[in-house]
Amino acid sequence: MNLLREHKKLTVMLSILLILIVIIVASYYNPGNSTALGRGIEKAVSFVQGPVSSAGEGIKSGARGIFQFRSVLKENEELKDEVASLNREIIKLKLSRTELNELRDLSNVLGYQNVTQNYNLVTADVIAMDGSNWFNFFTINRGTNSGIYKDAVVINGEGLIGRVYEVGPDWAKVISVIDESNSVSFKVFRNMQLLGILSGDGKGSLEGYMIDPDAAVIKGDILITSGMGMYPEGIVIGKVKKVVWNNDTLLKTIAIEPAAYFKNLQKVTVLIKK
Amino acid sequence: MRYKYSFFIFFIGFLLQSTVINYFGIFHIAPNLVLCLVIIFSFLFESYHGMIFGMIFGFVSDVCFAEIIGVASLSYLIVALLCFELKRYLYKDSVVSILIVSSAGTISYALIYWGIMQLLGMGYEFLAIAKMEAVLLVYHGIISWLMYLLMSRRVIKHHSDRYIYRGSLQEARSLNK
Repeated sequence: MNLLREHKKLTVMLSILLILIVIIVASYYNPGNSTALGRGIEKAVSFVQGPVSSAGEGIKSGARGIFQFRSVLKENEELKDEVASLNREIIKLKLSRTELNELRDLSNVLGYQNVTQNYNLVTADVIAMDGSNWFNFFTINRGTNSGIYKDAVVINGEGLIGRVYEVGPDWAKVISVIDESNSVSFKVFRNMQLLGILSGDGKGSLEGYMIDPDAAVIKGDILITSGMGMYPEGIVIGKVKKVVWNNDTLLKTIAIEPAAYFKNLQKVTVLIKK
Repeated sequence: MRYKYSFFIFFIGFLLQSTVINYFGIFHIAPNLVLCLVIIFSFLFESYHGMIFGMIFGFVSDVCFAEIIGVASLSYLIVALLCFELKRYLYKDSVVSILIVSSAGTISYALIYWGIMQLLGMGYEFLAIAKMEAVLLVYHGIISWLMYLLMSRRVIKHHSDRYIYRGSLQEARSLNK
């Protein structure tokens, strides 16, 4: 005891180190289960982060408008062209809509269920991202009050983003698909019988393998969720950028470029089961 | 510096880091402001503010964004201890010192964080982190230098003191002859 009294600073430091190690080990065995203190901290922080984040977004777009006036003008022209082509597309789609309704009626008669009809969509703003530069965790400004629950699937206009890891009344922590601990079952859009499993590659991108080693997957193939597991079928995940045969595991491994751009996420949509 | 001021500075740093900084990152890499504050506070000031608030905001950051809680907190604590140790070997009144401390802090934080995550079977590849660290070293060097310019006045009152000759007057006169 005298030794502890004589070296007070060292004792305090070692105690803190010990406490932190215990916290690390405890959270390793109970991932995603915050205590009341953790939830309180998260709530308070997200309350402040929301306005700061929107202010930052405003400043960014304002600054972009000032400094990149020419590129904004060019983008505007491109968007006008895109609007015109989309209008033409709408006309075509209107024609096929009647056909689709007929098929939908038929599917109802036969007892099939449509995946997209089973989900409500909740749009949320990204209010905070981890400062680690990996973007595998971020916070959104919607929570249980909007019907969001743990493991709800998160997407955006480009494709699959991830799933809800932890949720509070008006915030939710999302773990993105590029995190190594997140595994997703996929199928190849070109040939939907080719199945595989992917996860984060530890470099901020995705990698996976084909369940059938003889699967004819090629560079440029679009991958979508297979519907097995928690992710509903048909969400775009990304594009195959490399196919390699692994002699050790005897599996065809693939490197994937995610469809979503994780480094500039601002808005996401959460799929809520009806 | 008083605790409330230090807390305020760290709070602003944490808020900016988790919200605005990501929008303005160059090469999509954003600096770690809390780490820069831990380095500066631990190196410049005699108090333990850098260590204490580093641990607190590291903990908050872990609660908000990480799967495993406590890793950032522990890493900041070790970086703060390292900066405390470096204080014994480096002069505070030189900008070069702050660049050395900033580089040492940045590299050691990345190594500690990566090491702990690897021990837990998680984390990113070393090479991917190393590539990012090259940019972060420059970022953190610039930010630490700016922070040093702002804060060093509180610690080093008279910068020109180091040029004053402290020997005897007679000796000084003999040198002029």
